[in-house]
Amino acid sequence: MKKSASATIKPILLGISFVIGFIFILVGIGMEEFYEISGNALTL
Amino acid sequence: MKQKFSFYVHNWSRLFVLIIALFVIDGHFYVKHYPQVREFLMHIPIPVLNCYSVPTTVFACPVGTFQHFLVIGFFSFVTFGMLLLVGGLLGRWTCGWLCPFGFVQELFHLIPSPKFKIPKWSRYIKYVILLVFVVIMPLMVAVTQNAETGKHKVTLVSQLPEDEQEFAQRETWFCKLICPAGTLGAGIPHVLKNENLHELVGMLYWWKIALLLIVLIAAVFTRRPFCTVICPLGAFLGLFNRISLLKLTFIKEKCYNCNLCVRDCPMGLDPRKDFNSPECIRCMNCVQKKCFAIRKYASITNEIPKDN
Repeated sequence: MKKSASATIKPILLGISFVIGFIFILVGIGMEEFYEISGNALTL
Repeated sequence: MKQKFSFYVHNWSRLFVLIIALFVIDGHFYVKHYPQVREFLMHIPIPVLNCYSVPTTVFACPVGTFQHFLVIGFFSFVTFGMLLLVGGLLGRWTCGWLCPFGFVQELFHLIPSPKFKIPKWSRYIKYVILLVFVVIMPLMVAVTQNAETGKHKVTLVSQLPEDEQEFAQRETWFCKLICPAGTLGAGIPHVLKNENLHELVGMLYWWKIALLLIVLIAAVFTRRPFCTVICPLGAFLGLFNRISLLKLTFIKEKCYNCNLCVRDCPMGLDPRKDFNSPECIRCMNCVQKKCFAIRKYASITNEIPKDN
């Protein structure tokens, strides 16, 4: 049975989001981003 | 009585998880005596709207963090990467099972009153808010102060002289102008607790109080109005609902049109028509024991497992 275009594209998009997400987290950790994510900002 | 608690009557586990999540995210009692643990956790953004100015919060808000990085001229790789991973795995699941402000809205909706549906077109407002207030404005709009009069003025960074652009005071505009979760959890408690802040209370503060009241009153009459119309995090995670690993499916032949799924949907959707809508918060209220028409499954492809 032939797969529809969306059935083919969706897993590819999912794979791309996983790969980019994982790479971004590693890049962020490498850039020591966590030190900048602060918790005491006061917004009114 | 059954009608009143229809959000949870078939899904007590979600109520249990929401309460636990509320205490884990916003009740710092368990790290109270371990400031170093809290200090560590405060640097981790989690995929729920959770203002990091809340005095008792333990984690960082992804929307606030993302804007903060844009304001200082960087891109938050960790926040964006985390949202891509969570969205890809679960879609908007965290909105339905973990978000404290979503839970507050659901509790307000339990107040007996006439109930209304939010018009469909209003769902698109949150995408505009995501683009304008979370991405464009923190990059491009700054507050300047007149040296002579001392008055503050909102201006485009590009309109400032080149030597001033680098030092322009950009803002996290969504947090500053809109976020009612921040007003409820941080703005009100900080002002009540700290007398020094009373003199800072101005038009902006009352605007945010009014917005919070509008959202909470609207929550009595409609289902999760903030999540449907305003939430930029929900807008972003909702984009993944159609591709995420966790999916829903509807088997037409098994549907008896009992309407239980429509009655119990906290987002006011009809799961039979659009079971993977970007609005769906994956609360699983429609995946009920008595109904075999709507099933959840996890799959990279769109193929539904045979045992479902």
